[in-house]
Amino acid sequence: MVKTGYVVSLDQIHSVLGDSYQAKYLLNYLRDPTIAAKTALIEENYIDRDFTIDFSGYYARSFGKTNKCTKRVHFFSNIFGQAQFEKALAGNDAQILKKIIANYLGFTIVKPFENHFGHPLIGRTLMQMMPRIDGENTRFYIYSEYDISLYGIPLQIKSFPFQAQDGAVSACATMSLWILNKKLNKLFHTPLLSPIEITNKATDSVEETRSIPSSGLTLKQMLTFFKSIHLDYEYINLEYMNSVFLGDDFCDDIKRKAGRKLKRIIPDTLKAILPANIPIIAILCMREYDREVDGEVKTKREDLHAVVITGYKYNSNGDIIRIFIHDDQIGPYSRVKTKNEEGSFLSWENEWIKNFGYNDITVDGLLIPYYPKIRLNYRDVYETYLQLMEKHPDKILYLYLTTVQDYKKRLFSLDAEDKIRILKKSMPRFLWVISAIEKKNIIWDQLFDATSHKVELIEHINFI
Amino acid sequence: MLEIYRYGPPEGANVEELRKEYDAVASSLESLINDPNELREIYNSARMNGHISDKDLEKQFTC
Repeated sequence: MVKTGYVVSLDQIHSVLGDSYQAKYLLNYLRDPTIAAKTALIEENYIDRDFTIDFSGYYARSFGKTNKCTKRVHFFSNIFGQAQFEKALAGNDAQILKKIIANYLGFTIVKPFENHFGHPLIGRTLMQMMPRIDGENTRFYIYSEYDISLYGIPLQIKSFPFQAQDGAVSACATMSLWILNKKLNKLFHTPLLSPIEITNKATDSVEETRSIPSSGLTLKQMLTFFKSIHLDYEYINLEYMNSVFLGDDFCDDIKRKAGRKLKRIIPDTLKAILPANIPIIAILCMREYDREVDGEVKTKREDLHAVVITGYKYNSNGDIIRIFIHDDQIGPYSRVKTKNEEGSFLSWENEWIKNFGYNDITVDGLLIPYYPKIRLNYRDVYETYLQLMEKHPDKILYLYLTTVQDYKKRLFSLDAEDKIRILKKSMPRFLWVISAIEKKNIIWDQLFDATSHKVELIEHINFI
Repeated sequence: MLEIYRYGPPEGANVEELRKEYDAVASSLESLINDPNELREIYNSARMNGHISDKDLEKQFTC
């Protein structure tokens, strides 16, 4: 009989998770005082849906022997032993069962083969988020609620799935699409797809190179994937905006406009899109510089990388001070600091600089997936937002995407002029909202039809 | 304006005045399309507003 369901302390779990960067990151994350994992439970011979599909699509027909079963490792913030767990499982200890359920922190899958460096690969992972309140700051995460059955024990976790690339059926772009699609499935009912299915859909046309083994998708292939699951997208081309700002090709007025927009477009975009539960893919250019030769710094290596922005931390003024990303090469909820003091997040400081030897991480673009009915692009309504900001310098304005259901729920709890008429009014399913705040009080909202092709004000609401 | 160009001025219209007006619009349009700054702004606006070039599309994510 195969031993399974064995309980170990967090310190003993290293030999199971291995030494991949993602495994070490997960252990550090679990040891963080805000998470404080104490106990792990190893579930052997776990059949993971995503891995099974990748297995049948690639590994089953490879000569090398690969097991189709994985290990699922669960984490808990309370201390309990094997005997206590068995008693709880047998239904003989309601108290410990209650504690096991209440202290659940999530799980990670360990795949039955190794990465290029000989370390076990980290598969699908659902990890507890850090607490919402952090002193005077607030964390915001995109998440979904998941029900997990541990030998029949019903566990629940609020999380956003993560997985490391395997280098055979997926590289970073496939993984960022896989991570993103886990939320889009809940939000827009897109099909649930494993990494190999995503790579195949993205490369479903004649390409210069073979699709599997995957050496990395192109931007065009990522966009092809969105089309294949009947979604639309918007690309914010920051690399180009930056070249306009820094280059000599444009007149001063255009350069000034580009510079002004660049300073705020990333935080503004995150605040506008993420609260609608839509994750954003950040396209990164990572450079390592060589020694200075004749006063000129040469670039030693330049790599493009795709990660998913899943949350942020903001201060009491509402300014974003950290971004949280799911980076398949690092781990879930990896923290990003802005490199410059202005808080533009155009240039990042994170593990790629601290631990991977890169000198510069810049954001080349932001890729936003849309349900096709969201026809009014962010870039169009953002121009209106910037104009309103110039018109109302005394107020703080927020632009965000929402659904009519969520907006009316919020309006229902507030005091507004003509509230009953507005609540009864028929409105489009998706709305862009510009909110004006003065002395921490909401003054007015302007609603724009997000299902229209043009910027169309459909309601101005004054709050009392 | 296009109607006048196609079918001629309406009956009883002051042709000289109309011609002046037409020439003024045409010359301002001509100066606009010959102004490199204006052209750059049009191009710039297209790219800033999400246009993805062929070079962008071929970017490969190898990390």
